[in-house]
Amino acid sequence: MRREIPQLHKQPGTALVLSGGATKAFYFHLGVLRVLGVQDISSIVGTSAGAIAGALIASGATVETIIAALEEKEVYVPRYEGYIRFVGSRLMFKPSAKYIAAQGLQTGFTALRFLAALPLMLNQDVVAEALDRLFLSQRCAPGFFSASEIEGLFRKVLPSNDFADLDIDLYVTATALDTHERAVFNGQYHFEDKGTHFMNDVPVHKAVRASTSLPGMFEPVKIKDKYYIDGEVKRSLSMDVGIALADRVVVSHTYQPLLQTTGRSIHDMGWLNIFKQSIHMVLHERIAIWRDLYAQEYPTKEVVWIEPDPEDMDFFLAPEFSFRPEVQKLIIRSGELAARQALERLAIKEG
Amino acid sequence: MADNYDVLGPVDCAFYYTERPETPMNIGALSIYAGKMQFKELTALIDSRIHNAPRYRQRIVQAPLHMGQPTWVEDPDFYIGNHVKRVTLAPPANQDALRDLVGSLLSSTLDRQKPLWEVYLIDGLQGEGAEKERTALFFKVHHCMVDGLAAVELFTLLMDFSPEKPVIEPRKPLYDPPRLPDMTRFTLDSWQRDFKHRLALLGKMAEETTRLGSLMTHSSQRLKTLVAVTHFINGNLRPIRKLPINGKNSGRQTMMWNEFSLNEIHAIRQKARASVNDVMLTVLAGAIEKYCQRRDFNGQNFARILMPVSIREDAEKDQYGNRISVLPIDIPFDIKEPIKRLEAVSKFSAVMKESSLSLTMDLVLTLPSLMPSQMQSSLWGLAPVAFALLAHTWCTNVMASPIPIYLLGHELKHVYGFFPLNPTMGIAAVVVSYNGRVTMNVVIDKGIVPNPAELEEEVRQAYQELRQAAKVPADPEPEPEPAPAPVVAQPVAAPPVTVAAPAPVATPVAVAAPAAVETPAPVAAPAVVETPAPVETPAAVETPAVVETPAVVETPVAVEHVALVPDHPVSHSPAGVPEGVGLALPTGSDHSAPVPVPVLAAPHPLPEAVAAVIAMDSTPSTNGKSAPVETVVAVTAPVAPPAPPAPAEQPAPPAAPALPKLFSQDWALAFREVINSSADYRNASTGWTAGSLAFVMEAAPRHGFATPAAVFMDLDRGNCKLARALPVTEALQSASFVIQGDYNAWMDVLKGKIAPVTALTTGKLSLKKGSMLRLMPYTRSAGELVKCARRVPYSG
Repeated sequence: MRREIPQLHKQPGTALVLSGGATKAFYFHLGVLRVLGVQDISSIVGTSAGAIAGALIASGATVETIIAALEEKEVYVPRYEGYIRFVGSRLMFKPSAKYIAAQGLQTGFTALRFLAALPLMLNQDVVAEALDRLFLSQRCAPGFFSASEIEGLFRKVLPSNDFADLDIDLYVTATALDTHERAVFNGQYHFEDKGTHFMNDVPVHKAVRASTSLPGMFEPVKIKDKYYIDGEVKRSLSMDVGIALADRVVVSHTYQPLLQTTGRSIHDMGWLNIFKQSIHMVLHERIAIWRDLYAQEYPTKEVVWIEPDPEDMDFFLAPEFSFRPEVQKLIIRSGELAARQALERLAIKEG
Repeated sequence: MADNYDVLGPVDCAFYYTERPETPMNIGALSIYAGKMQFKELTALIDSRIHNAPRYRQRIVQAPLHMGQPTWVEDPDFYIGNHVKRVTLAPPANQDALRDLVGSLLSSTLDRQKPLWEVYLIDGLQGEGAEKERTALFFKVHHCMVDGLAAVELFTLLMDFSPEKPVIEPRKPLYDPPRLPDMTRFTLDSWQRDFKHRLALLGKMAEETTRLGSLMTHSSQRLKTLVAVTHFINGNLRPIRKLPINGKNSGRQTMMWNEFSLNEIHAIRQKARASVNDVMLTVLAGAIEKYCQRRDFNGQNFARILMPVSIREDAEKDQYGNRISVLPIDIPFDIKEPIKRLEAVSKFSAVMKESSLSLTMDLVLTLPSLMPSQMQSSLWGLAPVAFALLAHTWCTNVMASPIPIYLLGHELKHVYGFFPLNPTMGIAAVVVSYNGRVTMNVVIDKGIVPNPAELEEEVRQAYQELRQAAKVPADPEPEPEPAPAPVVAQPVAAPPVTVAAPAPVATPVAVAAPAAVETPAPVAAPAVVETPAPVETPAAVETPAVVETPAVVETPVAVEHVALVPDHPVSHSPAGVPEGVGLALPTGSDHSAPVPVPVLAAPHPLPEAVAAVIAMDSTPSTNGKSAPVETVVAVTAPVAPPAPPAPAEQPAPPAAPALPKLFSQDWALAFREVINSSADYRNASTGWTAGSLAFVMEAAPRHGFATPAAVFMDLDRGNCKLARALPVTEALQSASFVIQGDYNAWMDVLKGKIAPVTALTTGKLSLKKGSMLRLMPYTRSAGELVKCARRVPYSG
């Protein structure tokens, strides 16, 4: 069974695969790249937060510049001949006022109708009725936030929003909401094969916005008459693209469930952490299947996995969406640590 | 600060506002191709070239409550899949089924939330003869977006003159429009934008009024206009009465078409000194009369047909939108004899064209756009009433290619244009000439004309009657012009050279051809005199050229006027003898017969400046006609006496001079000579009146072009009057068309790797000045021009 994408041409150098995972993954990737450097990287495959980091790096911003921009808010990037400025939480969370208002009105109206009908429901399953009404009323808002600031940032700062003009080849993935296809936006390839649509005619800012549109939270992005959501929905880590592009692939991801063998249980860390642990376990298991499969199929390919230490409690507990400097520093350090550990493993393996 | 959006022009607004569900305001064509076209390939081709037609990715945005003029804005959601669609015809996929399908496609309006055009690939159509299958394309575009000429732009970009499949570029420029404007901001900006727009309109109206006024100061023009107005109102001081082809539109439209031989129509028109358009108007009127005779005629004794006329000026040729006005043509029913009716139509249309009525109509059509935007919609809502009082129907004509053209390697077999039906009009006709055939396609509202087949038959009969009355024999098998051979890189054997001979034979000279001329050379071939014409003698000719090569005089001829060129070798014989030149000048006054070309070698160059002057002077004749001249050397001095051809005894030829550098002055002069010697070019370019053309080579230091280079050619009806190298800025100013490309692009074209039109449409070469649409009728000519360029040797 051949999983490599035959249409892609292999290049010398390293393919870097950057996962999604909200701001936490973005900081983690920065830490990883701070250690690894970008000299040998010939292509970057990025999804969601990985797409943002990948687009910045591929367009010529250095890791230190991006980290400085996080800290100082506005930094000059010589390659852009301009400043970049991360606008804090607004970068990700620009409320979609019309959708929030519409959903609020609809939910409020549904609640009122429910309350008015309550006296007539004495012999019915009121909870079931309430849940039904609650879920059925969620139809008028495709999302509550818009990632338009991210789009605006890239549109404004990049010297060119054509993938073909980037310093490093960039591949950004997204998922077509209605047709389940995976889209890989890039600067070279334009073809459709086995549910994956490579497109070379979409601007970087639009691709990145589509890739970061976490379903339910962000409104999907319309590209060529299709709505796209986060690329990780269809395929966690588009490793197949990275493997097709280079013999050496570095995978940086944050889908690491916490390994708690002693001490405090996650049970005592609240529902959100229980939910997070569950999601990470699902994603980690999904990645492990592909990882094993690729190891069998392509034994000659050198794949370097960089992931957080499973026992790193601080990393696990750090919020997925955070713009606080101390959290940024903590996660960047985790990334650096993970990269160093990976390099050490590699050194041991190489003997 | 206001944005730079384009506002819809006055006539664009007319089409935008007068559209109703029952009268979609779309124009376009149904075209039928040989073989089965692949939908994916068509979509990919259009997608790869659509960026060359920016309007096709724009949609209309208007401030709420019509608080501003409708405006073109790039559609951020443009997606080719929304515009290129596929329909498969169910069996029996014959012409009737096609008409039914096309009728339903015609009857729907376009989605105003998207760019206003659609292409439907209709497959499954039954083939003709040996062909198993054909493919139809139905293309429609809103008339507010483009006028008839601009409508074909998209197809101009897609079509080729070669049956070879075009290469679809894997990459195209990134389409990255901004988001749709914020409506509050857009509305506020509208006021500023509209103010500017109206100011520009006022300026234009003032200009037109001044032009009209200055025209009226000429007594002859005043008279023409007076005659036109008299024609227009004569016996018709009251509004026209409706014909049975007018009524309340149902919105159920269909098309019916007839196809005729262009040769027959040319023969018919010559009987009445009419135009092709007059012939078709007469046919249409004849059909309308016959159709009406079976119904309540209402006492109306003529049909008034509105004919759109282009008023696009040179400065506007690259702009979209409608630059059209209308001329009403009255066709009397009481003249029963077809030829006399044709004469009447011809006379009437000539009077109308010569009058200033179209300018006046344009002024009238511009007036509503000066009103507040909120009022315009209502005002244009009344337009149908005005049109109902003004005319019975429309008839427009489009000239397509005179030779076969191809889309994705499939030959275009038939093309039927269509035009929107104005409210109250039951029919509208479009005449298209293509590849020796003329089609008349009539859009019909089935609610007004319930039996379209009847009208179709009437058109056929009206044409036959006219043809028979003109005593023109039926053209049983119209011979379309052969398709041009696919362009391949090759040393082209030159066609017989045509050389003009002087009318008054003055100084007899002997000219001789070296034996090597007998062998066809890669460039210059034996010349044949076809059309004698006097050639002006430039002063420099006084200097006698020395003939070193013993020459053979085949025919003693007299030379009065000749042109000279520097000694760059236009061709070389296989033996390496610079044939240089050929000048054939037959004796006597009968210059119609082909005469072998005597050739004189020109080993010594003339001073370049002198040669340039001579070349630039071209060959204006005393009778005003230009004379095509092969690369020539003039001989006024005594030349060698006649001698039998003796190639073996021929003395060693002089060393071949250096080849001219591409796009240099020498190259330009040689190019001009090759152009003027090419019978193929002349035949293909008899209708070239588009003006001058310049080729620009971008700087390519690695290839010896430290700065951009340009050559300019003043072309007129198959003759190159002037060719010269000049600075790019000057070329951009002085040439009507400027084609620019980098070194590799020009090399590909000159080596025949890519056809010139393909190079233009794929963006390898770009048209820096001039309109692709204007080049369209001359594509064959352009192809021949490039073939001529290939024959000019160059260094590097």
